[in-house]
Amino acid sequence: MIVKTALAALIAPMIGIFAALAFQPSPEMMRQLFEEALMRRKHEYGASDARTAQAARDLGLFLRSQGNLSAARDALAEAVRIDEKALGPAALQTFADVAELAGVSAPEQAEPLWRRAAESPDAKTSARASAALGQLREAASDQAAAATFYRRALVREEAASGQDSARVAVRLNALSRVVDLPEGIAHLDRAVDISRRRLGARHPETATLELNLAALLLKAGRLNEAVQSGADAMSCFEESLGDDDPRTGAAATLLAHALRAKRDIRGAERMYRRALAIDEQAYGPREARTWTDARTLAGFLREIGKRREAAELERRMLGDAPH
Amino acid sequence: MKRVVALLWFPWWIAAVSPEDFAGAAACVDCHPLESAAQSASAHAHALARALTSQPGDWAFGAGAQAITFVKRLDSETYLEEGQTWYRILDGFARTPGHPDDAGVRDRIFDPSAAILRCFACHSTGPLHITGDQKIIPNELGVRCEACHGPSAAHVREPGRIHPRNPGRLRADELNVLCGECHRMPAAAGQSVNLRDPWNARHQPLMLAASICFRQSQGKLTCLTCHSPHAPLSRKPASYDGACVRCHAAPRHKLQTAGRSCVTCHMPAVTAQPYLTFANHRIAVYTAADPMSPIRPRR
Repeated sequence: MIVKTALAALIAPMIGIFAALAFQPSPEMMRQLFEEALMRRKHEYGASDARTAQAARDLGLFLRSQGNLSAARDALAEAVRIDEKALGPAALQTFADVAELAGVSAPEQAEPLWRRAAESPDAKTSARASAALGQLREAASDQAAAATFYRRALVREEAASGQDSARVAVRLNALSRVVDLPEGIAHLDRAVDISRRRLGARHPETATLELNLAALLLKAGRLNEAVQSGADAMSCFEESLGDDDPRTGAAATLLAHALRAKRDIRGAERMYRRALAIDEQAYGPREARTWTDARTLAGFLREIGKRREAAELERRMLGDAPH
Repeated sequence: MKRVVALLWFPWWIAAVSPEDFAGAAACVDCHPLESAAQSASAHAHALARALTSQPGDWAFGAGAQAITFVKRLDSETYLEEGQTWYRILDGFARTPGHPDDAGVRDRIFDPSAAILRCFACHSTGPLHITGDQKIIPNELGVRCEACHGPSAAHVREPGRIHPRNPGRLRADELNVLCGECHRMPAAAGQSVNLRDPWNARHQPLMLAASICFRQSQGKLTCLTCHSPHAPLSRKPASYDGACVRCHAAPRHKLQTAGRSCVTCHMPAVTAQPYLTFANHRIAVYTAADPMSPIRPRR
């Protein structure tokens, strides 16, 4: 009895503490509403009805938006099971839900699901699935297969959203990573052009494409163009995302590489330092991206004869870096 | 015993918050009369009301400080955000912000974006309830005491032993997240948000978090540095000068600034949408021509 009373005395304030931690609007409260809606549909229409599948899909996509992928997977798998019974395996909605399920699954489980979704007669679903398959192949360093999937995604995207849509620019960007330099530059030129017209010349997505273009131009040895594109992208990031946004830092790194290739030592050093400062502030000093910046700057300082400063930087930043 | 320990750490306790855990603003009045009176007069407290018979829709969202948008339940699946919003500056109706036309926007209750549920959740206090015939029922209208202090029925029962959350004790970044639950979160590292988009002027935590002042204040600058959490929002620019001079006692200006308040230039008013004006909370130096693009200091 005494133990029970003591526990009650301990638990009561804890309830208060936990309750007081609940933010408004609580994602858990929202989730509960979606789960109750699914239960109501099951009760009302049964577990094999398209309306119940809709509620399972709503719950799954809501959970995905909250970052709860494992719970989203269960709900979307349930939506696919119901779709197959209620609508059939070749229905557009079934393909679309298979793609959603793939999107929250681990790569091994996702690949067969994406392959199935890529066969959808709906160009939008097929484009998304083909692009995802391209990403999986790219991650596996199979550039040729990735290019095949990305090309298919591009064709399907053009059919789904038009030749000049912002989504076409996204597909072109992906394709540019896995093809040879001249073709990649041509794709990114087109993507930048589309993005300027669709989103605006000073939009951060346009700047991201410009930065990627600058990277390819640098690889191709077109240094002046690389510096120009990199500087444009950086000034756009500064304006739109902020002076200390990590994308501004990424642009600073690229610009530094381009200036270094042009033998603009002072400019390159300034940009390397800036990239390190931005990432150190954004991610903290003990983070892989910050360490990469520190290593790059240290290597550059050594190259230009500032050996003592390079050693000091390595001691300060990289003392306990992972190898 | 193991079961009890598990319960203590299991997060569904947070999920299990129910209407019974909320006391309602009326329960706070006796012990906190000043805060209650101030909060009752604020726009937060009047953020949601039943629409009057002379108004369109079933629900009126917004206290009318700038605008009121009306929402109607169409059927068991759908709510309609009316296409015409009432604007104070017009003392009349015009297109609802963000709407492509005047027809209104239909929101499925359980659309995965939870758009209409979020509208109700942010404009009310406590958990929402969905009735058997799919009506959204808010627990308490408006943003009241427990929206920030958390469910407090237990505190009302045992005020000496159980204390509600005090947001005043949160760190600056935590407080920004708390306010950001409804006023939009600060951007996560690497997240791409176009801070020059005038629409974002209405997302104060996002813009404040991008300010050099916020980042360099080491936690001193919070939403509460300038805004009383209970009292109605001050619309006099000069009323905010005191907060600025705490850090900037003798600012150097290149231009003539006599008679002007700090926020007039450093947090300029931005027309986020026709008839809606917000202070740009990304504190910086701006030109009159472009109140969303800070002038970059030389590096």
